[in-house]
Parts: sequence; structure tokens; C-alpha cells
Amino acid sequence: MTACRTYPTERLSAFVDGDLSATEAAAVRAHAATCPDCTAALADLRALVANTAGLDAPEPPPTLWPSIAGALDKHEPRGWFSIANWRPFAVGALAGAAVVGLAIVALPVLRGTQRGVPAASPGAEMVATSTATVDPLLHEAEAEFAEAAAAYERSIEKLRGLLAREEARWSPQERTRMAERLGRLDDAIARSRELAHRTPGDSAGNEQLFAAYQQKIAFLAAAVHRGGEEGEWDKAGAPTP
Amino acid sequence: MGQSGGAHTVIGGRPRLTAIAAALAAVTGAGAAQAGDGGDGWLYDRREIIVPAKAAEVVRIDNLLGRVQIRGVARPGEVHIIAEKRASTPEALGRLRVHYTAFESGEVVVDTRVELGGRERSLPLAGSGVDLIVDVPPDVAVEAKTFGGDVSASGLRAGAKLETTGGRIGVSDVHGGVVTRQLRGGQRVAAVEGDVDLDGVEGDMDLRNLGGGRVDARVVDGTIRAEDLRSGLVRLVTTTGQIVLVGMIRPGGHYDLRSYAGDVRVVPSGDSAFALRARSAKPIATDVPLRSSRREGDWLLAEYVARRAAPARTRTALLEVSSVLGAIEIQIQPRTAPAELR
Repeated sequence: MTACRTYPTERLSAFVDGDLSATEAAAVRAHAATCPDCTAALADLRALVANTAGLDAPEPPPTLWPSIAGALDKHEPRGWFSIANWRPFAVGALAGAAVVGLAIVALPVLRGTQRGVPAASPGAEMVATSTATVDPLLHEAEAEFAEAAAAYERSIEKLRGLLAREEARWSPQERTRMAERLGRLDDAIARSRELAHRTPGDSAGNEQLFAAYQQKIAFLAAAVHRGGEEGEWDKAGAPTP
Repeated sequence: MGQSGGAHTVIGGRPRLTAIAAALAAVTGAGAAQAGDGGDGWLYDRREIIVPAKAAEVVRIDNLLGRVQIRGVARPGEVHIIAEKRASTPEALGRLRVHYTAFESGEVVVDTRVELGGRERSLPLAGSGVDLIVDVPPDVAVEAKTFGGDVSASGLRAGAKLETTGGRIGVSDVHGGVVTRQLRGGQRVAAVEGDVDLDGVEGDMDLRNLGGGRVDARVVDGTIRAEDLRSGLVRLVTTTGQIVLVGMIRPGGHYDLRSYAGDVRVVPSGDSAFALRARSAKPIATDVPLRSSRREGDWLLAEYVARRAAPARTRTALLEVSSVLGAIEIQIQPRTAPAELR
């Protein structure tokens, strides 16, 4: 599915599913911010998840849960912190297996149909309007994501202001190169933002957006320091987006 | 989850199920529960559970729903979890979940989720939430992540990695490497014997009594105050904030202190020799007797020679200090007044 050899599809899928360790997830986010293939693959996977979210979760075989729970009856503390609360998790795993099958069949179709109209995907639109208006907890989550994004934007604006002071001393060529690099970072942020907003409450999507913000902040901060100290922000060793 | 080794299949396949079974088998202790109205308009439900984790090597905690406090006080082979969830309605309270999973690889995962549309999801919430206190054996490595909640770690002997978007970070009494990542909120890191790598965007950093090989702290908009650092390599960088370094300059150490817009102040104690390399838009203020001052471009080079001769083969420390727009001050730490003059 992805032409990129760094992360095969199953690792990207695990990332979308929130199944990677924090370290590995951060690595995927950082990589995807600069890899168009992986960005596209992640978009497809998220679209797949969004489009299959409305499907009924398949029930596990009737013998599965009793075989697990039966062995644990003597330990089972009932309540929200109990074994009973893991049952949906197991169901989710089976649902995931079903999604795998669906992915194999449906992904080529999704890729073909969604590339042209990513923002207006009917399935995503439906999820956005119906769920956000119904569930106050989802609304809370979206507000938290938006607040964090605004904080990143504020820091970027502050750094841009400092960079403008240094840019005044640069040559036109240096300013052009800086504009190009910032443009690439802005593109990565725009792509990530679009993906994150496609499905309300998309934690993985927002994490990728935040990773793109972090990359731009790191680049701007390094450019400000290096430009101020050396007058050469893009000499060898300077970070590149 | 699913990091237990081996290939991960697409979207939660067999490895997850295997892991869940392992987790279920690991739980033996019955949880103690308390529920009720907190008198502040919120409903609370508090649970405690002790789970056996004999082969635990690393504990990962992922709680976007609230705070995380990790303490290295549990007995070997046990993880003690205290979880308190809060919500405005019983219905919302019932949708907050805590999962504990023990993998055969020695990894233990504690995570919180909220049920939305029949599916459990890891999401940050503004009002409702779950706070976790997790007591682990001191010798396990810990990784924890929050969104808006504070995250702290203490009493650990195998390092910690803490990440938060908007919570405060606190670390104390930790042996092993410490890594932090934060958008805003501020960080306090004290009494660490191990490498320290701190990263923040907004918020002040307070570092005290650090003794690992290196300290690397970076923040865009915040002040860094560091006291009693014994590491051989100290790198403190802030873009708009100030830097204050107080304490002994370690012989042979390399100190790299850089602020773009803020002041940098160094208050050395003791009597260690150091070479100074400083750059500032304003004149450098110092009461330290420096000699051999000379210029190298924008940089001022000078040396401080200790009053007492250092033992043979003692290397001189290098103190690099830079502030593009701010001032630099190097000030001898006032000595405690002699007893007879009190």
C-alpha cells in the first residue's frame, strides 16, 4: 500500500490504531511529516477506520469469552476497573481482525475514490456532524485538541517575529531558502491538520499534527539562535525540515 | 500496545488478544472501591488494585484523561494502581475506563479510555477525567504520557520518560536517564543520577542536584534555573527566557548556556578554574577576576584561574555563554559570613 520502505503498512496501521509505543509512535509521526507516501497511507487508513466505525462490531464466537472468563472467575472484581471492562477490548480485537479483512478488500477502492475529494468525503462528513453534536465528551476532547493547537500556533508566531528580526540582515537568497523550508513545514502542518479534522476525536491524527508543529518550532528556534549567533542560519549542521 | 515483539498485524489483531489474555491471567487482587458525590458538583469513583507483575521490566502509562503520579515504592513483583475518575453524571462516570495489560515481554501497560459510540478511545477531556497513582517497584523503567494533567515520577531506579501536552512535569529522586517532552506547564527536575534530556515549548524549568553524565534542557519560551549540576556536559538553551546557573563549575566540564532574547547569569561557587567564551549584545558584567581577555569575532575569550592550584592533570572547564539580545552576568556566589563576623 505504501511505497515507503521505512514503515510498512502494518506499522502505520498499528500507529493509527494507537498500538505503538510512545517512542515508536513519535518516530512514525516525525517520519510521516516529511514523507508524502506515508502521509497518504495514513490518510487512507484513517479514512478506512472512519468509514468502518459505523459498522456493527462482530460478536466473538460464543465460546471465546466463557473460555477466558471461566478460568478467571475466582479473581474477578466487578466494576469499571474490572475484567468485565476488558471484554470490549477483546471484542475490539476481533472487530479489528474483521477490519483487516475489510481493508484488504476495500482499501484499493477507498484510495481510488478519496484521493480526489479528501475534505468532502461523505463518510467523514457524516461522522463529523452526527457525533460532534450528540456527544459532549467528544466535544470536550475536540476543545482540548484545539486549545493545544492554538498554543503551538502562538509559539510559532512568536518565533516568526524573532526570525523576522534576523531575516532583515540576510541576503535575498537566504530569505528565499528560508521561505522554501518554512513552506514545506507549513505544507506538512496543513496536511496533518486536514487529516486530524477529518474524524472528530482522532487522537493519532492530532498527535501527528502536533508533531508537525513541533518540527516547525524546533526548526524556527534553531534558525533564530543560529541566525542571531552566527548570521548564517542555514550553514552546515543547521536543521532542515 | 502490541509492542511485545514480533510483527504487528493490521488494526489490532492477534498480538493484542494474546496480550489481553496475559493481562487477565495476571490480575489476582480484588480492587477496593469507593464511590460518591464529592460535594463539588462532581461524582467520584476511586479504586485500588494490586496486580502481580513478577517479570515487569518497563511500565508504560498512557492517561490522556488526567494526572499521573508514579512512585517507586511498590514491592518487587507488584504494581499498585489507585485510579480516581470524576464526571458530572453517573452515565459519564461509567464511560471512563482503566486498562491494565501485562505482556509476556515484561512490559506492563496502564491506559485510560473513554467510551464513545460503543468504542473505547484514548482522548483528552476538559472536565471529566481519571487521575492515576501508580506505585511500581523501583527497578522498573517507566514511561508516562498525559495530555492536560500533571505527570510526576519519584523514587525510581531505572529512569523515566515523561510526556505531556499541558500538564506540569515533576521528577525527583530518580536514578537512570530522564527524558521529558512538553508543550507547556513548566518542569521541576531534582535529585537525578543519570542523563537528563528535557524539552519544552512554554514554561519554566527548575533543575536541582543533577549528577548524570549530561544535562540537556531546551525551552522556547521559559526561564531555565539550574542549581548544583554535577554533570560533565551541561547544555541549557532558551529562546526568549533567562538562564540562571548556580553552583560549582566542575573541572573539565563543558557548560553551554544560550538564550536569544533573555539574560544569562552564572553564579559559580567553589574555586574551579574555567575558560570563558562569551557573547552578548551588551557589556558582560562580572566580579570574577578574569585574565587573558581577548576577542575572537563577537566572542570574548577569558580565563578564571583558581586561587588554589588544581591537582595535576585536572582539566579546565569550558563555560560558553551567549545571549543575542540580553545581558550576561558572571557573579561569584557570596560566601557564608564567617562565624566570628556574625
